Amino acid sequence: MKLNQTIGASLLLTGLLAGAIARQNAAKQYAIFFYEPKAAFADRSNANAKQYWDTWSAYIGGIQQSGKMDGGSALLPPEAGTKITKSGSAKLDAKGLNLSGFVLIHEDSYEAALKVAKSSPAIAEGGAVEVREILPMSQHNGESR
Amino acid sequence: MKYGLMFYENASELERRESADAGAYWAAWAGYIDLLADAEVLVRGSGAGLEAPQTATTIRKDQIQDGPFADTKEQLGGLVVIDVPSLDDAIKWAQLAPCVNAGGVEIRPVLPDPS
Repeated sequence: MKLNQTIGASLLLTGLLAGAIARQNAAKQYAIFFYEPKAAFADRSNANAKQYWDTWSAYIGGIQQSGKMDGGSALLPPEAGTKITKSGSAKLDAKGLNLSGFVLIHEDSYEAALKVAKSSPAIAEGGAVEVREILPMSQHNGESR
Repeated sequence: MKYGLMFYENASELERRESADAGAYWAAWAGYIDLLADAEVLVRGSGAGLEAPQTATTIRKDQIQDGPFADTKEQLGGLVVIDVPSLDDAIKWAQLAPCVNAGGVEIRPVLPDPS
């Protein structure tokens, strides 16, 4: 879909339409971000790797089987990351908890999304999980259902 | 190689969403996403614009708190996954993001699918 010609009008329309559809279906999209400690990133490739991946596979597999999964990615460790700002590119600060991956889901309520987030392995690892509603109009950028 | 581009925006940039400048703000993002789609680097269905950080909930082992994970001036505003040959290409696309002068873009290689 090309928005270049009448960006303002199309965007508004896309937003309104998506909003109306979302309300009709009651389901909204949520992004769940996983932040893990350094030790968990290490567990990906040390003697604990099998347990680490089995735990995450079971969690992600559970969301997939529920039919609520719209997308997601696991990220390589922060040491492999780069930050781009107006002053150029730099290595990421790998201290503390770092973003390790995310999933995009649809759920009927915010509470349901929180429940999915709470059962994430990142919590038991001593990490953190952030839940954020996805803007309806951002659905124009891909086929997420 | 797939890369996640996480878009971080400072407070004044995020405020543009609710200001008289909202049209220009959203048009810039729509244009950028179109650019990625037209160049066929955007991974379909991978992207999401996020509601304001103050609407977030962050969960840890012993607490649930309102607000985003990061206690920083710049907050995650959205993300996409792109598929490009190299990190240099990912950097090139990241530098075109509307938030590059009002926050920044974090580039992270995506873990390849196990197969």
